[in-house]
Amino acid sequence: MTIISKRSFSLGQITSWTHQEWLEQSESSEKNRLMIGVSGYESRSSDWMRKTLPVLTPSKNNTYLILGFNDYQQDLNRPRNDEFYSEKGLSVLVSKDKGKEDLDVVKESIIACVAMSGETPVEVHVDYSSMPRSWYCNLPFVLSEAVRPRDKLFFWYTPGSYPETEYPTAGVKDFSVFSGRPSLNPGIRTHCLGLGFDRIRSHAIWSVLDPTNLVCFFASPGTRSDYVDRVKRDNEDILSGANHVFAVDMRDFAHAYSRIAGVVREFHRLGDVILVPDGPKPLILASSLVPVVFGQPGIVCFHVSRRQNQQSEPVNVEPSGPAYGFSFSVPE
Amino acid sequence: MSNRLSDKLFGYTGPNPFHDAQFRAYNSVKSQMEFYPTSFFWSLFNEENEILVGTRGSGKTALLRMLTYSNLKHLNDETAKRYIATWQFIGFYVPMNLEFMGALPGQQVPPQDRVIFFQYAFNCSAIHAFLSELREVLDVAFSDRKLRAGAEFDLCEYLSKLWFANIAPPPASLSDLMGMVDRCFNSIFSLGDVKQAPEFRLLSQPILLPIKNAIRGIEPVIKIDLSRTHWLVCIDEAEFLDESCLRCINTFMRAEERPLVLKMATLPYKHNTRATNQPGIFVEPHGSDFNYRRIDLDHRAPDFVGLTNYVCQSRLQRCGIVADDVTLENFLGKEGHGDDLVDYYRAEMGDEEALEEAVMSGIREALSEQRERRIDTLSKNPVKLKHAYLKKFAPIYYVRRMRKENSKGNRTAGWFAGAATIRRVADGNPRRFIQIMNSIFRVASDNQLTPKEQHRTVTRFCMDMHTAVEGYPDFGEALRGLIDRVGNVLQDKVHGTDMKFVGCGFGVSDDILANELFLNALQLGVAYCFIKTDEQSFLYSITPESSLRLSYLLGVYFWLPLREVGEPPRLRQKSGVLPGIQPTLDPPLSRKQVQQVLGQLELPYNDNYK
Repeated sequence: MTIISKRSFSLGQITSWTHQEWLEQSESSEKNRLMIGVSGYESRSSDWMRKTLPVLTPSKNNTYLILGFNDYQQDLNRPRNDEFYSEKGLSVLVSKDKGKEDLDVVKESIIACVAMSGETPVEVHVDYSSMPRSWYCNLPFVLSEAVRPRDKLFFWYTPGSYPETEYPTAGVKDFSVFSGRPSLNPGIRTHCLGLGFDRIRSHAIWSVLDPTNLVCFFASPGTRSDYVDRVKRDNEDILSGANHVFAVDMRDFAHAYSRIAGVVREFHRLGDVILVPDGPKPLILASSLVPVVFGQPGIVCFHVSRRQNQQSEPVNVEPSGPAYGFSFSVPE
Repeated sequence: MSNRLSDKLFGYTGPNPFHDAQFRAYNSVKSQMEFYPTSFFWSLFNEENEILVGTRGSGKTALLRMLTYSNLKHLNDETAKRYIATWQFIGFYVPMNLEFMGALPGQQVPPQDRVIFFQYAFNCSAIHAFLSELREVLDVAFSDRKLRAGAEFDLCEYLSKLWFANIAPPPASLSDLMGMVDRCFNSIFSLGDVKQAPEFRLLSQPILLPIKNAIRGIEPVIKIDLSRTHWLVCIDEAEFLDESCLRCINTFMRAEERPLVLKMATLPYKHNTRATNQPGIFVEPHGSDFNYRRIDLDHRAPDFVGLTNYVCQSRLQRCGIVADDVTLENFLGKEGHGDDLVDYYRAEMGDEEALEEAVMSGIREALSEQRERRIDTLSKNPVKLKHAYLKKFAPIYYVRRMRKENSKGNRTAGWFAGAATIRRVADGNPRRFIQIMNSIFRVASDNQLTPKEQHRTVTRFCMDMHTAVEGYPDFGEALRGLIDRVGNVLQDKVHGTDMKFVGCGFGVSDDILANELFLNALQLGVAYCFIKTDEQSFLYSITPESSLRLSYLLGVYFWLPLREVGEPPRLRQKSGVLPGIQPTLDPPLSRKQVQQVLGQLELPYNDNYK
């Protein structure tokens, strides 16, 4: 799914949170809450729920929506995750089984929750740690259409420890414009390339784009102590060709977003800015939002899909630290 | 070693002027300072549709951007001045970059709808560029500001009536008109948007038709003689166009829409259809509808020598090295009398070892027994011996010895050094040249750029580039495997027990080309300048008759003589089949599968040199 639409979008009062901070203050506040999570083969996919459920047990005020992925239902941690939810009295909904699209199911749940809340503010919490890019990058737009200015949207991410694995290369066909529009005949084009661990993939992306003015960014600090060194080592040749490099703290989403948006604003004065995020999900999400929030031609965000080859197997991603997230509300 | 200009950089701490390897889209004045007009550039001013095929970094964008009227007018050249003054050629630049193509909301629609989207977006882009250049034309034509303003107003009125008849009052300036076209482009999100757009009928016409119609009536409006003008439509990055878009381009070329002439730049093998939008009608090259032109230069061509010297001169100026005689040779310094291979060999091995007798003796020892006997029988005929063995085998022998020297402890032989070698490693590709110079410049600010230091830098650069191959799109891994297979076999022929008469050349058999994985990998290698081939194969397709060679950058990596010689080994599949695994392209092969497939290749060598 691609956001090439006329819709405007704004991030009102964006605030960063740690999961712990929010849990502590949530106990004392009276709100209706809808918690959205997934059940997948990663052990990480139920981690946020495991820490949230004991504090905010399912009730009339705290409802839970757990979406189950249609594929790999018997692989790795999926059975264990399904079992965990079942023990907590939560059913795992596989949208395809109901003949529905996942994002439509989410939207319906929110509309129902908002309708039942009356004047009471609603908080919608999305744990996107194990969601695919096509879900979590679209959810801010989908959800913002369903909530009111008094409601709040939260997005949570649990960092994960990725095992060494083989990611195949990329080519022109894997690129799609997720958000934004280019200008006609731009002067200087600046490519902002988000970097992760995948040297071959990053290099393929770089060589397809063939950037004139390259800006690179990566997460720092990373999910583990050697993260930044490895990103720098794996992408040494790309970084050496960059005209500007910056790091963003993904634990503080509001800061990460404004850092990326600031760089985009700076280079947009010279011409088009093309964001090509890779690496941790919060940076991909932040980059994907920028063109829509700016709403001006000449800012584009590409998504580069990951190819599955015949021998692709699911890999377990274990949680490797406390969750963090951000909240925002839609403006009046 | 003669004096080196690079010595002046010792201790330099400013920015590296070779850091930017791309032709930057600066303003027109800066652009022309970066640009070296080759004879190929001037040959593009003609009335033919031309598809300019060039490897990544060969200078496609620079050529097309400089063809535009706005850039050409800043070029300090008599021919350029004539074209500008007479409006003989007016070029406008239409980029087809990935985000432009990706933003077309027609990727998941049937081809006929895709064509509508493409024509709409292309016409928006082309009109925008056309208007931008018209502004420049008015600047040149009218020195009086009042007259210029009047002409622009009349022009806007004429174009508005033609294109946007419903809009009143008409835009008063070309900038306003361009803004309107921008809004047309930014308002399409779905097929419905396109079809409901007020300008749908104008903008979704076959490409460039709105401009063709406009050109007919411009002359009396702005009162400039445009009767002999050719309007060059410079389409860049056409490698991102899919088949339905290429059909639109082909339709234009087939229809002979002069005075509009198309100059389209793309990567090798990416103009992959001759079909037009008319069923059964195809475009033909060789001047009928268009010509293919190869952009890549030969590393020995005067144009490439001139270009590399110009790049050195213009970039070194930025760090204070200003002189009339800035050339690559002067920057790096020359070895011996001729800066030839033998001079570098002599510098490392001493005068005696470089004598013809010593070299001939070394060659004899390195060859097979059969060849040794042949040398012995020729020993009474020194002229023939020199011609048949010394001249042909000396470059192979030198590199064999140099590698041996280089492997001794801490010894570094200054072998891959000097201007000629650096131009060879760049292989006629301007961007690769700037990238090498980037590395060399960095070293020169900390060290004296001796041949040994140059050698270290060049080999490190080549090693990095070789490592990067597997990261190239789609078939990078297979390409890396092919390169390594060929390179290692050639290396063994040069450095093995018996020295063979080889260079960087190789061939491929039918069965290799019948396998899509290998064919795509080879084509990627050519497109990214890691494999070089003859003109016919470069422009059309790789065949078993194609003359192929590893780029000299890879020649450095594998320690090969940087030349094509002898009967090249021919890459083929063992026993003509791929047991066990049948490669498929979609979904992609894993790294392990690629290695398995590559394991089925062999490179037999027929040592029949007499």
